[in-house]
Amino acid sequence: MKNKVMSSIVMFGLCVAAVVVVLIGAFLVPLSYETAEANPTIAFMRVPVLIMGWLILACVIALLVVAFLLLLRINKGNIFEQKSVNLLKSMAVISLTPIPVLATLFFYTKANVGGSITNFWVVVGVMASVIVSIFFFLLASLFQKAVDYKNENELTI
Amino acid sequence: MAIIVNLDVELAKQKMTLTELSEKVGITLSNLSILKTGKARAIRFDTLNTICAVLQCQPGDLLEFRED
Repeated sequence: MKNKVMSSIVMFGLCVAAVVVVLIGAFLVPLSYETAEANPTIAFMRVPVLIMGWLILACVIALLVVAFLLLLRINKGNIFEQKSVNLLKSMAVISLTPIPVLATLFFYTKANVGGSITNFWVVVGVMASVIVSIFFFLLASLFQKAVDYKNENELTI
Repeated sequence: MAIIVNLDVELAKQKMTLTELSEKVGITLSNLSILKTGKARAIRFDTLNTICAVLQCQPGDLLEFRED
């Protein structure tokens, strides 16, 4: 019962996070216009950078959706199963997907704007992606071990 | 797998069904079925002991090693 309440709270948190990500995506449009107006020399970068920002947010949304699916499985009590391991592995892979976009953003900004602060945040983003991905891979391998032990236990008569 | 479980042979010798064995040894039918079909990874000594006692056989009658 306690676990169900906890996972329901986490589920609610995930939904709130998804809404926040969507709102950030919507907020990026006026922000891009403001930045383009403030810096007319780099106004041509508005659309490409906006698209890259949306792509990164799409990765975050995908991660939240997979986390939601995993929580649904936990709520049903199907925790230590191969599908949970696969979901964790896909979360790890999804965590890595923003890296090419971030790398493109890094080189695009570096080529057009000298000494931009954006590149610092891009590097931070790449680091965060890698750390989150490693965390999920570790969790997946831990779950895999648990699934193996569970299977072995079930097949010991 | 190299280890073959001859539970069906011993059951036939005793003219007993898997359901009857399940009731007598107190092991679920699904677990006995796993054992019979050779899907089991391991067998506990107490399980082997109970089955041997009920089927009046030796562990060697139930388990057999065959080269792959």
